[in-house]
Amino acid sequence: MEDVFLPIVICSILFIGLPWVVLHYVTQWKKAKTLSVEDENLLDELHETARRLDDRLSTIERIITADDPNWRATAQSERTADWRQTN
Amino acid sequence: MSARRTNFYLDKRNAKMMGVCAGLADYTGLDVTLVRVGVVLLTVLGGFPWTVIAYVITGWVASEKPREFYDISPEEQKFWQGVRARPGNSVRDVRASFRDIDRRLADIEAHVTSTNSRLANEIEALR
Repeated sequence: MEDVFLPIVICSILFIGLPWVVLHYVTQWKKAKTLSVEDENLLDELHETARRLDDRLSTIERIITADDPNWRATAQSERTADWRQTN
Repeated sequence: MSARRTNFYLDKRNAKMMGVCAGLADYTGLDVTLVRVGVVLLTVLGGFPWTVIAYVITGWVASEKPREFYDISPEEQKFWQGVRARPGNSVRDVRASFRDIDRRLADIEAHVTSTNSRLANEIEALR
């Protein structure tokens, strides 16, 4: 009885169980590693938005600097003062 | 479906033969010459039939780079090379740039509101 069952069990483990486990982890790994199409488009859009906002802020900062060269220091000190008041 | 930016493409415009090495350089961000020299060295140093087979199969199977991906800025190209290598880091970079924007905007807001209140005080003093 055992002579018949043991090879069957070993064969099923070798040819079904093992590839199953390997393929399962391969798909898991792929899913974790790569971005989906939506994620990729979202990342593209966010990156583009960040770049444009950065450009606009630079323009505004240039205008303010031309108006008042050390505005940033005063603004920062004011912001920390505000923060101390609220906390 | 639009073309994906994280796929491998053959770079036909910068190609010497089939564009596999140029595509590989474009995909990873390595120098094209470095990739070509590396492949040739690998072929000479014992990988003879296999690298050639891999090259031909890749050149045959992989699709060409879509036209709209040729005219992107170098900065954007670098960004997508980073995404291909480590998507998580690129997401963190984008978040960091948004935080930076938020901080700078807060400075501008503080400046604008403080000048407004200063102006109001001066008007009040003149009355």
